[in-house]
Amino acid sequence: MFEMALSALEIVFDPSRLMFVALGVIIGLSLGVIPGLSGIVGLSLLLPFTFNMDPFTALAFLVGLQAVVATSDTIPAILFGVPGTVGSASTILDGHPMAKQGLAARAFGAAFSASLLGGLCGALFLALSIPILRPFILSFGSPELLVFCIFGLSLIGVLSGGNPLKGLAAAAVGLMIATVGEEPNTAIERWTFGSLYLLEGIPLVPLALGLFAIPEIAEMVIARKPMQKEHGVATAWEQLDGVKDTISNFSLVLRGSAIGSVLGAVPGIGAPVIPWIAYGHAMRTEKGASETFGKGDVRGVIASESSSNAKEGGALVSTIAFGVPATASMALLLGAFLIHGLSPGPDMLTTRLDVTYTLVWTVALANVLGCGICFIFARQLASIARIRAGILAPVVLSIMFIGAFQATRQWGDIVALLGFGLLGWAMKRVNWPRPPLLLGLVLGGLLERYMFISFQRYGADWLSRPIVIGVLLITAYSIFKPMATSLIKRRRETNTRYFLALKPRRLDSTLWFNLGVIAFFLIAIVGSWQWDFGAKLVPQVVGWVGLFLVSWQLTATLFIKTESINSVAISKNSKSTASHSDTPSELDHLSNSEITRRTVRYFSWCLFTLATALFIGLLPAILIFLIGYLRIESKESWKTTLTVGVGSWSVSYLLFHQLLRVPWPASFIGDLLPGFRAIGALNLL
Amino acid sequence: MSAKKHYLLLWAFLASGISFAQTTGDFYAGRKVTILVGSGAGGTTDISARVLAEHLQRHIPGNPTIIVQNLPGGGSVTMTNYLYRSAPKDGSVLGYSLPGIITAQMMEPKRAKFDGRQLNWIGSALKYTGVVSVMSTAPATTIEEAKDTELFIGTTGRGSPAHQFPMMAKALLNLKFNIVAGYESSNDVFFAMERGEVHGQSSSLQAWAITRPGWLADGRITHLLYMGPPDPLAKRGIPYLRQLVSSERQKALVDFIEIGSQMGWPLFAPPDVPANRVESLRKAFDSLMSDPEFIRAMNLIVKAELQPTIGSDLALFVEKSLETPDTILSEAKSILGLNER
Repeated sequence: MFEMALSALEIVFDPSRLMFVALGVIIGLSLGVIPGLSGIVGLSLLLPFTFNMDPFTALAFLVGLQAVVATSDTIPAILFGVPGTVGSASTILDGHPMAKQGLAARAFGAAFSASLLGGLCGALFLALSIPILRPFILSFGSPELLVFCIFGLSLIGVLSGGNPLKGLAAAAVGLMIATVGEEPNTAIERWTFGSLYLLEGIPLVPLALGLFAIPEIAEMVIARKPMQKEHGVATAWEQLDGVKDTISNFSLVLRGSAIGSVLGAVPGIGAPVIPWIAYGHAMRTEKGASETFGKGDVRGVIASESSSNAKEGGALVSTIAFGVPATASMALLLGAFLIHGLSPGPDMLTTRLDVTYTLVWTVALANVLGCGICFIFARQLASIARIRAGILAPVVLSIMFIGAFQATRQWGDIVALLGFGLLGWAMKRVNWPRPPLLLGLVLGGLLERYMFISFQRYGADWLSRPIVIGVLLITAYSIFKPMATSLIKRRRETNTRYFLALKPRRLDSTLWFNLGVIAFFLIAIVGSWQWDFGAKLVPQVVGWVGLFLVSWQLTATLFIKTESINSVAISKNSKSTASHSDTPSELDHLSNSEITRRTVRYFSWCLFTLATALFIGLLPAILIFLIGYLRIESKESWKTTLTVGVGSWSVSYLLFHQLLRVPWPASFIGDLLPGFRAIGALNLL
Repeated sequence: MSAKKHYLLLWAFLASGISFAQTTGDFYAGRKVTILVGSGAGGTTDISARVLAEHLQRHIPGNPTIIVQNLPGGGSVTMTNYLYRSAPKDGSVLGYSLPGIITAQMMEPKRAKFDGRQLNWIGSALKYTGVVSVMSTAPATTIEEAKDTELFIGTTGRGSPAHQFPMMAKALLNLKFNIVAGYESSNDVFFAMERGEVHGQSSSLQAWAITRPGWLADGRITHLLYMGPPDPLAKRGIPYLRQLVSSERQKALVDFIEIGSQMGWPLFAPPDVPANRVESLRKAFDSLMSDPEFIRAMNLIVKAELQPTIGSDLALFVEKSLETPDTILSEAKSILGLNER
């Protein structure tokens, strides 16, 4: 085994191959930075060019590309709160607050070094465990994956901090949204309204971008302050502080890396969830984490990033060893393998181990190169956070529009982006944690699928399988232990005397939001009532539980508890933990009506762009949006407007239209004047 | 006419989409052609499309560069809808779909917003041989045994051909298939077979050859029955669905689900592409079918023998298929559980 590993190392360090790995790395980094684009874009574009290369070079090139996307997707996550790919969403929770506090360079330093170490440890771990990998992975059947989803859901408790009710309700919303689409067992279409778009369910990228990114940009716009609230130029060595943070938390890096590579190697676990698992684990085990995570604790960034990179290595190995790709990018990589004559399977772990080791080394090398490049530019990147909101917002928004569109390349993507943007903003305003919704969405689809397969195949026997029992016990422990500890603590600290007094509440936004969610669940329950059992089970269960949770939550806000003096200490504590897993708000200096006015303006601009796009095409509409916003809303001079607007638009045009040849959706004018579509450069309608 | 009027006239021409009289070679020279693949990346459909694109470039007059893009969804319905409505109608964008695209038009009229009769069929290089295969360690390894012993067959979803073939076989032959639906993709079902979670699945012969050639060679899997063109499985004594049924009605049902098998993976252009360009594309496709490099690539990478259908024959076949009587259509829908569509 070692000889093969060493000879593979020689193969990788061949100069011409190294060149291709480097090229792949640069392309991969560029793709990860742009929200909505992931490795698959680059892979599918470059795959034909690899036909004439020898397999080792071709695969080193493609794997190098894929391996670093998880590194650069951190950049928009930290700077703007925009996930570069869905996997970086958990980095936002602590990385973005750090940027707002002027610590972006440090966050980058920590993130990139954690990525590097995480990726390397992951690669090493996998290289060592290859002998036992097959039996390990084969023992994960649908029942095991099911209980893993349940375990993932248990993280919601941790991620909602002091608002478990809100967190669970948000997760229930996510689970419900996951049911949209065609139900595989009954072929019943759930809430697709006859549209082809919703048939496959609501795609993750526009949802994540809308839920997390749009509210962050909204806040920046409404506050009219740059992202970085406190002024201060990052010193040259600030990113090194981040590296020191990583090194002093090395055991966390190791754990994150282990979680990432082990779970990443199991096909079907749901790759976006893995960084959340590491984050949740860190939250539970690190000292004082429950107070500081979500407010700019660098350990949150470290846990997220180390696991995120490690999982790429894990996913690669399971793609090679089993031919089961965890993501679309991996599927394309798999195709590349097949085209170059390598069949995934046990051979890759025995007779063709040389190829596997080559790839593991490539991943390690790509990580070093990728993280190195990002690290060198960390300070320059960090200074982006200081650009004024009036310029940054429209540019980032325009990229998000196009990026969201890459999900399924239909108008629905933009609608989903804005719809979830609105929801995300509302949740932010009323202090509902958003990560549980994302988790509910990712896990919901998997959960239902595995549940039905498990029952169909094993009846109820699957509950007695050893791994299933083990994971369920761990889940139960992780849910009940914190509850028990806090209950015991409360008992000790108070003479429990709670007075319930109903105070009349204004019809404020919190109330409306709760009522809205209640209406959502009611509609879901009624809507699914008529369906066959297979299709209605999950919507009904989730609907009733969600309804219960929100109603309880609503009641809790209507009644104000007046407590005895001894428990004042407790209420102080609970305030500080209020929704700490979500980013704190910066708008306290504005009145509610001012906030509402500016919010309406912001979303009106977004809607205007969508409407214009439907009329004349997405890319042209974005040009109009950029120029209009910069001039009218941000009141920039014509010189700035045209430079920034036309400049950034041209980059988008070159990248998306000329290079990536995105098939733009049909617009009204385009249908009216089909001649434009015949001209390559103008086929934007 | 003044310069301004010349200018206006030019724009009027452009806007109305009138193409100037030019040869196909002129049109394609230096141009990029896009083939939209109606499936995700990495499977048989995607890989065969990429091999096709790579070699077709040489045969089209003008030698354009062909790039492949994935537009998955709805069993190629999403891609075909897009091509039908939004894609440029000048022959620079082509579609490459899953085999069942015409069956989808008939069974999902609300969602399939295209008409196969209007599409310009260029050709098909392969045929789809669907097989139901089980691990050789399964409790039943022949059709007869499968009538008495339960077999777990994994599928993706009710709408997929991988589900429809075993469902139809189960109904027509009274087999004891316990269909476990819901797997994400056929790769996941392969994996489930490896884990012992299901005994078998329905897939194409090409897919087996591409992704698990070792299993075919060392006898780890046994084919229960197949549908589609008879070669090359007939020689190996594997039962052929159409021969196992007796009544006219049953044979008509089998013919119906075999429409996709006969079409293979078709390449087509949207409606309204100028006729001379379609002709050139068809000619290019035909000459590709005898190109030894292409044949070798298909053998090596897609592990498939060519079973070509030329464009005009494809068009005739589509016309005929779309005339399937409603009685057969509704019976097929009810067997497959697709009445909601």
